[in-house]
Amino acid sequence: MSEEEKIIVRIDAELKELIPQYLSNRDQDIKKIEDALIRSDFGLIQSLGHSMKGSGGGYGFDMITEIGAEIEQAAKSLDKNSIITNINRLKNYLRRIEIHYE
Amino acid sequence: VQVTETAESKTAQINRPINLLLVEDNADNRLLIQSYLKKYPIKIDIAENGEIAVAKFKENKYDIVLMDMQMPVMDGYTATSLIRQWEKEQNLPPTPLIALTAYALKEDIEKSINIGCTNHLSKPIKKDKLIQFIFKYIKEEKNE
Repeated sequence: MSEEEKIIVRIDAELKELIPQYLSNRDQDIKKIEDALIRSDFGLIQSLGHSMKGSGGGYGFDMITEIGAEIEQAAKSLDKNSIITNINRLKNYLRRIEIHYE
Repeated sequence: VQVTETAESKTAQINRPINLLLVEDNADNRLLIQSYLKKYPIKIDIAENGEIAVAKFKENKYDIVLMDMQMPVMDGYTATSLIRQWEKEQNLPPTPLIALTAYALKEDIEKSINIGCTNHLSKPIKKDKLIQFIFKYIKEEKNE
């Protein structure tokens, strides 16, 4: 199996202590969204997407903001397929990122 | 005041600690803002929703308020209106109040300004812009 290409993310060194918790919160979001999908709780998914959209780029994870916006929009349209696609995008991104503090 | 003046040089001109009220329901964003402001002489009070914000605002004197617009219990639009109304009743000048919104849409910006916000910052919050805004309004207030 070929190794996945890493995505380099440059993060402000002032945020170093916060990053592990921030990323672990996103893992929690993925679990919450997957559970919410089973219950068709689109309101919760919309709110979680909205929060990701509003926080990701502030930390330096612009992709989390982008995916959060997609998830929020998909939940508004009750579009399960798009939510699943974007959750997979988020998982893929979180697996591949390599953080450089500067 | 020179336009090129940095936030750091402005901090040096402010001798007393700044009292800031941060109204934000998202813990990730609270931590982010607290981290970015850690090295400045700023005392941060936290309110998790608009209702708590209005109560804290009435009890304390703040130099500046950062107000998220979308929050549970009471949103930022309502809280800002109540704060402005209370300031009027108390004959107090309007405190600089910066709206934090997830959208950079024109109507949302207009709505926040119409309701009484001094200015508007779009989320996600970027460090330079945040520092620049805080010191701009602190300074303007001090010069009045």
